[in-house]
Amino acid sequence: MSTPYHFLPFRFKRNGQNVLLVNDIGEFQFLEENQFQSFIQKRMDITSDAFLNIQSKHMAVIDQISHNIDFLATAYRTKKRYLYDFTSLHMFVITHRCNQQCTYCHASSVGDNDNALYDMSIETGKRCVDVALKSPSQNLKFEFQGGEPLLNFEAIREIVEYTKKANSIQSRHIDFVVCTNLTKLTEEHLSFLKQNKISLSTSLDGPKDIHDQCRKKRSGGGTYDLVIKNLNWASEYLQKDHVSALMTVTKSNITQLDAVIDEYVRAKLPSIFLRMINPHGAALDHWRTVGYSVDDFVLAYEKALNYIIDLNYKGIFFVEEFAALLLTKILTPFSTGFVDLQSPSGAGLGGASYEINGDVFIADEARMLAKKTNDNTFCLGNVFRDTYESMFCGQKLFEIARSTTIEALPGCAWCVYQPYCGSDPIRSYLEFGDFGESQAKTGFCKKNKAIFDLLFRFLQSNEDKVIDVFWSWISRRDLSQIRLENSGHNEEFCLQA
Amino acid sequence: MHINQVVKWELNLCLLNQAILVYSTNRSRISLQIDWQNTSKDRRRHRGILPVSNPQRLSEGNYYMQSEKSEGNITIEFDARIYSEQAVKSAIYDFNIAAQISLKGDDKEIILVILQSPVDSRSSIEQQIYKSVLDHQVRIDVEKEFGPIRKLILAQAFFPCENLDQIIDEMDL
Amino acid sequence: MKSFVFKLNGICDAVLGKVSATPVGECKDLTFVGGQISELSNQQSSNGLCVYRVPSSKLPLKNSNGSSLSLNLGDVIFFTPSGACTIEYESHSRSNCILLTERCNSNCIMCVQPPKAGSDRTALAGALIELIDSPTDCIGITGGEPTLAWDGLLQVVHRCRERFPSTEIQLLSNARLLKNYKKAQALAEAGGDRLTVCVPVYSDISQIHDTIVGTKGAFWEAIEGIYNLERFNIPVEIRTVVQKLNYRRLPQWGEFVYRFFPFVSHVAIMGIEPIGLALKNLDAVWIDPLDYASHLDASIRTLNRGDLKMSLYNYQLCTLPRHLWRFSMKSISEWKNVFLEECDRCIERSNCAGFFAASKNKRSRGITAIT
Repeated sequence: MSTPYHFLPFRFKRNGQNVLLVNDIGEFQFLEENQFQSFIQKRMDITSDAFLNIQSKHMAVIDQISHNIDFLATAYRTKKRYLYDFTSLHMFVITHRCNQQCTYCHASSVGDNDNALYDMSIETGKRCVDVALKSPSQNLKFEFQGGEPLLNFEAIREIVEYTKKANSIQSRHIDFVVCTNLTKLTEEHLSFLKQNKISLSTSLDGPKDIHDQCRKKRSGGGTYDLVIKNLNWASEYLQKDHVSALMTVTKSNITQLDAVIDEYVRAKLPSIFLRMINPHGAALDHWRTVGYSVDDFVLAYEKALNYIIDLNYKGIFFVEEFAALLLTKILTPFSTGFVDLQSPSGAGLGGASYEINGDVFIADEARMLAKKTNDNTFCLGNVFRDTYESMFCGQKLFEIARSTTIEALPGCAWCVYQPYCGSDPIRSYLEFGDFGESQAKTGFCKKNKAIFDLLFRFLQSNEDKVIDVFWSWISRRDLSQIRLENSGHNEEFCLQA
Repeated sequence: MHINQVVKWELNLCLLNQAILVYSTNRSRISLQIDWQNTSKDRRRHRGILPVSNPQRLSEGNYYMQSEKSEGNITIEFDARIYSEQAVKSAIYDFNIAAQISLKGDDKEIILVILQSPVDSRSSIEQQIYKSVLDHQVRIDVEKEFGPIRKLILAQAFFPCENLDQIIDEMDL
Repeated sequence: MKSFVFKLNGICDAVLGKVSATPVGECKDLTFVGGQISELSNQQSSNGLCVYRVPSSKLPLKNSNGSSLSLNLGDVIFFTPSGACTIEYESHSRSNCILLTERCNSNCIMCVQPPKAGSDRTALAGALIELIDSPTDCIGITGGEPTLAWDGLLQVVHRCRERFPSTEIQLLSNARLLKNYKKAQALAEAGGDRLTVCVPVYSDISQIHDTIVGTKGAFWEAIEGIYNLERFNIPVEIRTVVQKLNYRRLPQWGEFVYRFFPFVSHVAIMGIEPIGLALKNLDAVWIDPLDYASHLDASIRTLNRGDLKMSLYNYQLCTLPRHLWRFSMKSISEWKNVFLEECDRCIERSNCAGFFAASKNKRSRGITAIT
């Protein structure tokens, strides 16, 4: 049977009067309904602009298929690059102790009295580093979490020194991050952080009244004033871009996200990550006061995103990190290292969480699950008892990887956003009891679909104004550079011919 | 896709009724067991097969489908020469509704019964189901053509081979 | 290359000579008699080329039509018995090109150096490399298609790198033969970190590219070649010549280059030089830059968003939107670079690429002095 053209793999979804098509490597385009009909019925004129655009986006082919296959295979491999890096993110839970008691805290920590039972011992820390360094990746990231990591600063110090020594031969690039509430920050801490080029990540929920509503000291009272003071101090002390903040959207701030964003801009933070609250840990216990529906989140998110885009129009460079991540997946040929949105899931494959006793979990949520309910489903092993091979190359991780490969899950397999999306096995487990097969029915999916819909509405409009802002986020460059605003002549040399 | 595996679906249809749909496949027929749950406080469960009204002959409409409403259910028929069970199942999965799927007339018709949908949303859910099954059938049809190509791309991405041309010739794409 | 005609006396074979003030090795003296060059004695070397020096005390020379020819110390000149001569190497120029062969395996509709069958110039190129006194910033290797003279190419690249470790080598090639993994490997070994390969990709659509280069299958071969070069970490530049067949899809081409060749070190968008086959096929090739300004703008925006380095070659500033001026380069070799009378009144003259001498055949209708 001779046809004018052959299909190459694509997915589609109707979008009002248009149809969105996406291919396996993330190239996308919009077709009008009648164009789509003639395309799938093989009636399209192969000399028409519409067909040439489809051919350009590698959804149809008129010449030899083998060239296209090899070509697309290279692009596909690029998209799955993170697999070759394997586990790059290693999160060390340095202590369970915390001087705060935030209402939505999913770390469910204990008090800050000096009880070593709740700390990661230095010996355990070193053993965890040994395991982490077995990962083949050339670029690693070690994150110190808690509780409040600064309460066990000695362990951080020892682990960093030990890592530097252990890495001295291979000299792999290792980034360190301390996730802290900033209330216990001292000169000594900052000096060590600066010396070792360690970044700080903190939580800022918004202006004082919002922040203090949820993020309270264990002894009572808000933390805003101290956090802002120490945030400014750290920003000046440490290198540029070594201080960042994120926030959790809760019932207290969901209707006032623009006030939160204003606060971030005031605190001179370059970006915000609007995270939807996870129904784990203390958040689940306090759901009535902190929780909200996925629909509520999506509405608030859209409003906040438009607000941030407007700020960018006004000349303030400010990024919404989740949107920037999704746009990187949509508009660039590259893969991303964000473990929560990968197929197969980055949980375990991309990142691992080390508990104070050396238990290794595929993600922090998995660790929390075990802590709260003794459910060790997602525990890969222990750094003292098990080998790296049995933990990271074992049957359990393989099963998780297989269950979270959304290319093969019902609902996800045919979803138009599949090439950009990923899987959260713990969420699926909590909602449906499986490792990810019911991905398409989780609240996680619902939220992601809605945000993809939103972003593709922008992309369909194809307005340079907003697309330029998106690219300034993706490439972390000033909007004026993207817009080609600053003029000048090219002084560089070129070979004359 | 894992549709053909044994999957437990938990579906929440409307405020008044809940049904738990469990199905398994065998070669020629899909048989369903439906568990009813009342929302009464003591939540009694009973098993039963839902009654399906007599389907009428298919008319030559645009969608090759016909729908009929009876006893709070909606019955839609699909011409099995054009639509596959797969398409209907995928549509149900997307809509997250309680339904019964069966084959009739020597496998020439697929009968879809949507259980107890609220009265005011009936016409819209019918239209949406029609469109969804159509789209899913399109997906299945185009997948027949590019399915092998997709597998080749994945294989070439992670286990590249020198003689790709030869393999493609043998596959007769 | 700059070519001129010189009345030569008594030279029986082609001669490659260098302008120098002092004796260099075993070369013979050429003297000038009444503005003509004649040789004192005729001695052949084994490869058929003799190396002579032209005494600098006899500079400046006058060529046959009476106009003076400025030569500098270190210039290398190729003399043929008929009197047709070319300056193969200009020591005072930052851009020098070695024409390796006139053969080509493509047949581009707008080719400025139409392919000629016959032998390659690899022996001349090899001798030329030996004659160069001091290195320039950049040496280009062109043709025809240089990879057709494969062994000679490897030799020239290798020797150039040996003699001048700081000189960049820019190879202009369609990369089709580099689809062969081993060839790409050999080229990478020869060139090391000094080599950049400039490959034309004229469209995002294979059949359009193939039509432009007159060869079916060229598109995919070029892409395979580019990917092989990237596998060996050889920097690649992607070029296009904007013409009638491909200007409409310039934005999609930009998108294609970013998506599938994000590793390229440079992207060059070039205007037409109306000479050679481009002149012969002018109706099928020519498109006024004013008519594709919006396409060009969209394409450059796409490439800029992807943070790729790019340049515009062979464009007059008056034909470009102002915000694209920053990408325009003075890409036309001095010896064929002309300006119009109109340009004397233009405030941007010093920043502008100007015209090809051949542009008298066809110019944009938008040429006007910027005031």
